[in-house]
Amino acid sequence: MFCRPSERQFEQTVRAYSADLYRYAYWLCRDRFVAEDLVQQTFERAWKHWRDLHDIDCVKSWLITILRREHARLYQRMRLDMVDDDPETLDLPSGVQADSQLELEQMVAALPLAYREALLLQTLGGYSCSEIAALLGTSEGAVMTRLTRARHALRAHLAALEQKRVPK
Amino acid sequence: MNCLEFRREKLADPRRLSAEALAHLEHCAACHAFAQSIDESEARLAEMLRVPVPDGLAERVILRRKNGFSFTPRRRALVATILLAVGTGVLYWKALPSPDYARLAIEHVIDEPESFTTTRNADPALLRKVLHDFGGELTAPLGQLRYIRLCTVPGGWRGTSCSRPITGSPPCC
Repeated sequence: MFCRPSERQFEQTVRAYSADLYRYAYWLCRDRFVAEDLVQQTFERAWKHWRDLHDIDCVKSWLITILRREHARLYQRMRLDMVDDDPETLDLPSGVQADSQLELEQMVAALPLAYREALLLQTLGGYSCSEIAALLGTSEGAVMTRLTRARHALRAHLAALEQKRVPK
Repeated sequence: MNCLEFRREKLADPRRLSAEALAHLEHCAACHAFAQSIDESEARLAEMLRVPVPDGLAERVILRRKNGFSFTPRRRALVATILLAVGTGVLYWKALPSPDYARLAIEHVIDEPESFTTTRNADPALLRKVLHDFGGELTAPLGQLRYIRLCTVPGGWRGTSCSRPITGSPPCC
């Protein structure tokens, strides 16, 4: 069976980015089924507007933007936790006695969405602060602040947990 | 660049340091140790974020495109659930006794042809007593009765059926 060039390009894009998009979606919603649905809806919307994509090099950012909108649509009626509090005041779980990897997972999930999104885009997507700022529609300084606070909060809580584990 | 500035930069983007930051790292042992611990926690974080991807995800997306992007599995499940709920509701509703008792009485008598030919327990006083036991009252005399019996109505209720010898008169229940 022969594919038209745009179909072939779309299929290549799906194969190249579906895993990244799934992981990003998973960490946004923390639900495997919703994450897969988000990926499906993202590609569905992308295919509908495939002709509007002028620069194939921007496809990953474009897909992430679509996915973020799809995710926002899921929670349209919910107020998103776009917080810029000090890391010390972040309500992260503490005193967890499980494996450290699980603790880290729990802490990332407990980060406010604004911090978590920036962290995911950088760690999973490999984007720079300026690229993340363009994706999130904010300033580079704001992204740097969010990332610094997110890492600072994670490190502080991990350090506290490590200290609790040290036998007295 | 001082240590505070370096740490801010390292925390904001650990994998992309400016030339100034790299130069600072060269001669600051404390920041070197800090950078190392950040890199370790970044590696842990990156490993943790790489959750397993469902098998065949890309193929499912491609297949859906070929089918014109029909329902997602979740939407399909939702539609199936709604259909199942509606189907179960309809079945349950059908199983309920009809509130149209007049129709029920006629249908019941249709299945009881002997009521028109048999004379049994045909005492109007008995019918009055049975009705009284059910909490009802016979307000007008029915005349001569040919047939009275207790019968079961769908839903587990009990009723009486009786017939009168006059053709065309409605049976009562």
